Amino acid sequence: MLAEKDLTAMTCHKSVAAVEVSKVSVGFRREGQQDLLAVDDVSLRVFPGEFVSLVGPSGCGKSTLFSVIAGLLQPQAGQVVVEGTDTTGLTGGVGYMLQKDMLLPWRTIADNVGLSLELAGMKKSQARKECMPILERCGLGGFEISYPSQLSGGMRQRAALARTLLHGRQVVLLDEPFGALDAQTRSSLHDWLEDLGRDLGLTIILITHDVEEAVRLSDRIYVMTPRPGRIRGIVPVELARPRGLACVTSPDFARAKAKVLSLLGHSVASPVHESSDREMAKAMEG
Amino acid sequence: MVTARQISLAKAPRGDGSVPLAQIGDVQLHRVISSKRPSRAKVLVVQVVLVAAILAGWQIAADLHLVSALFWSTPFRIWDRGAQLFGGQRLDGTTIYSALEYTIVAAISGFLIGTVIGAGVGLSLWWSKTAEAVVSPFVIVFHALPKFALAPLLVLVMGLGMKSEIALAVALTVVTSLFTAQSGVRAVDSDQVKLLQSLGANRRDIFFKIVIPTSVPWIISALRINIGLALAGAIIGEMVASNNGIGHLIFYAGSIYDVALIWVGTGVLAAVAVLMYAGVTLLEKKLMIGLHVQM
Ligand SMILES: Nc1ncnc2c1ncn2[C@@H]1O[C@H](COP(=O)(O)OP(=O)(O)OP(=O)(O)O)[C@@H](O)[C@H]1O
Ligand SMILES: [Mg+2]
Repeated sequence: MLAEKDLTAMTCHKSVAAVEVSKVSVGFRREGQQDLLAVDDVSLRVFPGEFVSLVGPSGCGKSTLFSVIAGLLQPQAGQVVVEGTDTTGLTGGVGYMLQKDMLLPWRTIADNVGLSLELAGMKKSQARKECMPILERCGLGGFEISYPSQLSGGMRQRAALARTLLHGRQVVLLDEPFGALDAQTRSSLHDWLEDLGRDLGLTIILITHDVEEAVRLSDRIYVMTPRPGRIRGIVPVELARPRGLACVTSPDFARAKAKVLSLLGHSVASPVHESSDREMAKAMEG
Repeated sequence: MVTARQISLAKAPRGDGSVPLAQIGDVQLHRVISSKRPSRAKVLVVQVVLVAAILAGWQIAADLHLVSALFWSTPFRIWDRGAQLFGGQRLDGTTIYSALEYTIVAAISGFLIGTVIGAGVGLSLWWSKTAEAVVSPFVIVFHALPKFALAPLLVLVMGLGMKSEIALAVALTVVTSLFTAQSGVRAVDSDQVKLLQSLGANRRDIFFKIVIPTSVPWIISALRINIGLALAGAIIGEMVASNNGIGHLIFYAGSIYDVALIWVGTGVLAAVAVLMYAGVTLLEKKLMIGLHVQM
């Protein structure tokens, strides 16, 4: 059991949080049906350079919460502060990789990946050149003039990831970025993302359904309840970095994984007390 | 698991009488994928024979006075008339060549102007929901209106000649392209818009990078309908409001009981329509490939 002090000491590198979500609630109006409360009073605080994951059952409002953080959706209540600026309802402050790859089918891979540069006013030909290194790094070298329909599902996801990274924001939101990948590619991308995040000093928030992936990558895991989504608990992961594949076998890994699973409602061998995690969640939000 | 019902279905005789090609236990296997395509030559031969039979039947029926050659003319007379005209005979102050040119210029101008204006207005309505709401009912009324009713008015305003003819072709084509452009705008994927917004795009970026690429295939798909409409507009325009063009030629032929000439005009019109249609289909394919969209 960690007190607020310890958590802060562990995670706080600078005094200003990279992302601070406070008491955000989102409801959807639905014609002929009751309004739907998707996200209920959620608060998160993520510090610069941290890697944080969001796990929760399908439909609990994770993607909705990302839309709010990215400024694409106005919450009914609450506030989003990115690097000290109130960005509630304002776009462009964070990098956002949507759940679907959303590559524009009429643009080549290079032109898709370079979109953010074009939007910032760069010439198309220049943008194409600029995106070569990141394409190489994402294993898409040689596919720059292919169209999205000519790529596999995993390649499209990597292209979407490349586009998000090229956007060049400090804070990056990744909504199930590795969903369509095989276990091996996934694992190598985990290493790659960990390195990249550290090299570029990125602050990453990741949504995933894969608990092992969350533990493998995160400094902290937020577990959400079924809809309406609330934070049920926060699980810190205290594994040394760089982690590598070997960390999967360590007892700390197993402990963190068991804790997340139990918060998600799976019965595991060593149950954790939910109430204590609630307190921790409160402490984090406070 | 196979249920009893499925088994009985598998055993049931097939209504189409097709013979099972193989059997696994009691289950009969059929081939539904036809491996044979009809040979092109065979189809062409049947088509030629069909046309020849109709023409021969017509000629014979006219020779036997079963149909009136005066009202229906005969294939031989039509052929002779066609030969005279294409030989350069002047008719009502014009030749078939200049009439042809006149009609084609009118139809293509009407097609281009109508398509560009319609698509432009349809796309620009994306910018303002209010403008769209204001304009929509008028567009629907104009769409429902039989545009040929406008012909006399157009003659009064624009005078006799190609201008009013083009105006009629524009009136016919403009609504189709406006509607298809609007459908294209409505087909814009809101998630793609979301993506662009998350990358910091403004409304102008979204218009040029999402709305236009999404709508253009829709607009292109309306080109084929529009070329037919433009030709119809030009022909009707020529009948009502002009003294040149194939439409005028047909109208003139009717007024002097030159039935063979009516047929020649109609035949030429059919050829022009087929050529324009083929041209637009080719253009459509080229554009679609250029835009990299699957049809
Ligand atoms: N635009 C919308 N209008 C109405 N309801 C919506 C809208 N977007 C999302 N919802 C609802 O909000 C709830 C949360 O959706 P969301 O996409 O955030 O879930 P999620 O946690 O990302 O799920 P998954 O893990 O399956 O991606 C769902 O019940 C969904 O039906
Ligand atoms: Mg989601």
